[in-house]
Amino acid sequence: MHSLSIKFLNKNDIYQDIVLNSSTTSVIGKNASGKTTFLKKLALPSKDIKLIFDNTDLNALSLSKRSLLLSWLPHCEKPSFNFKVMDFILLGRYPIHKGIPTLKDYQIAEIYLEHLGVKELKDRDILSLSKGEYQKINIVRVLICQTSLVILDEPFSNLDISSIATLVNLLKSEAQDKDRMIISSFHDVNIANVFSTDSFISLTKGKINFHTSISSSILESIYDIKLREIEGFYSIF
Amino acid sequence: MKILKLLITVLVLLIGVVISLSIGTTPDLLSYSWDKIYVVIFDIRLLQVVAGIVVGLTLGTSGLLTQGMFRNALASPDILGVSSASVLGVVICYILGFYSSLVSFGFSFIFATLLSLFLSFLARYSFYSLLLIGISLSLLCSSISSLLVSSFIFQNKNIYSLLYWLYGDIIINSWKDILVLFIPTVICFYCGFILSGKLDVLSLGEDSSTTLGINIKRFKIKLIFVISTMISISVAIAGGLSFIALIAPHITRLMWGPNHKRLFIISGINGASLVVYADILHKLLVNSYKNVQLGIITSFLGACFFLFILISQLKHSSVN
Repeated sequence: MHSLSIKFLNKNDIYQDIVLNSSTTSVIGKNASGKTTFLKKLALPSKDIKLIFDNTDLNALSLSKRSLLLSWLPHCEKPSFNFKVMDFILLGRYPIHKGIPTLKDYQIAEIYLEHLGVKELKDRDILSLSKGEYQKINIVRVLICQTSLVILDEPFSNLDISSIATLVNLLKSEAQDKDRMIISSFHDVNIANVFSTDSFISLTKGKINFHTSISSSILESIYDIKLREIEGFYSIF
Repeated sequence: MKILKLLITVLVLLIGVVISLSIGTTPDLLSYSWDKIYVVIFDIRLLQVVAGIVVGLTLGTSGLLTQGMFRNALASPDILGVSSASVLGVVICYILGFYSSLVSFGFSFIFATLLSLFLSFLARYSFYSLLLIGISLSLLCSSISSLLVSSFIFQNKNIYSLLYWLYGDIIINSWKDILVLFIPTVICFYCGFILSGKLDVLSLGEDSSTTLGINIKRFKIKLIFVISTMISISVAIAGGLSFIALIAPHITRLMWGPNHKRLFIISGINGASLVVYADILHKLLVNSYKNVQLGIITSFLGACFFLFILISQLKHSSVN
């Protein structure tokens, strides 16, 4: 089990310090509430934040050491050149293979492609993929580095419900069986509630709050909307 | 399959070299004595071809590094104005009265580096604004160069010689001049090849590359250093030879895919082929039309190709 403590050093920040212990954490909040900004602050080295991950100060590490501990899925970013899907995925293991992928890197990539059922995409051109296909490939790229800390920004955007079901299971088993800590932002509170059971971060007007569980009243204060709870699921209708 | 493709690429260059060696301004070469033939082939034609290959290699590879750095296949040191800045450096150096090749190399390197540093600060904004700023800077630098050369032209024979070189022409007098540039060329190739591996990662975006362990600032400064040195080498030999640095990597990427390490080597070979064949065309034209510079030929063909790329991208963007 890993632990991550987030300390905001910049006094002007309205963020408050947080300690995460759960293997899966969901980040929720309205559009423009600062989810992407917050996750980017964690993912990129920054002077106004102190990240202690299992007694290691992440921002004091060199970039190459840091890259072996933390990986990040940015929101909607396409590569500028038309790589083959396999070459693109292997870029995710750059911190390990440093530009010369070995057979092991290929094997790990194949395993994840198999898990997501997108093995047939591996010889396609990356820019010819649909948005959903690209999103899956991009998630594989981030997962194959097998870092202990994974930060995902809206991993399920553009995905259909069956892909989401596969991915939620994959991410949860990654977190539990392989002992990785995954922090992910979601649009859909129900998916967030399935993904993590005891660790939620909510962002409202730039304010950050930590919850061990979510309820209708918490969600109503986050989203400013009436919600109904039906057998553990939340509905606006 | 890949080996065959590589062999063809090298063969194209070699055939170009052979053709280039057999064409020249001396009529009926075979009727002369062996000594004379040796001098013409070895000291004039081969020197010209080797100079062309060095220019093509540096332009092709520096073009690839620039495209990788700006993450766009339309970037190139000549379109963004790095070459023109480098040319301006040499012109200013001559006007100040330093005619040593080392000093002028230093001047052209400093000007090229300053311009690329300036551009890299703008790189976070939209690429098309950057492209327009680059094109304006390129025109600004070359107009200042022309202005300076034409106003000082009658004061000094050395400056008069710049007139041809300004628009790009391989002007090289002895093997010594090539050998001086040999060491920086080799160092640049080595460094450029090492750096090109990271360009694949950079194409994921600057933030993603940071999380994959690349120090973007340091990486870009290294790239700018290598690109500026390469451009200064090519400018020292051939002046403002334009469009080779754009076309060579572009064609190579179409044929070989986007893997930058592979592209680095093959862009260099293709750049060399382009210069060698442009030089053959140049020699054929010079026989009938005097005063045609090599740069005019590469500009003409290159501009047509650039237009073609831009128009085909236009179609592509209107569909989306």
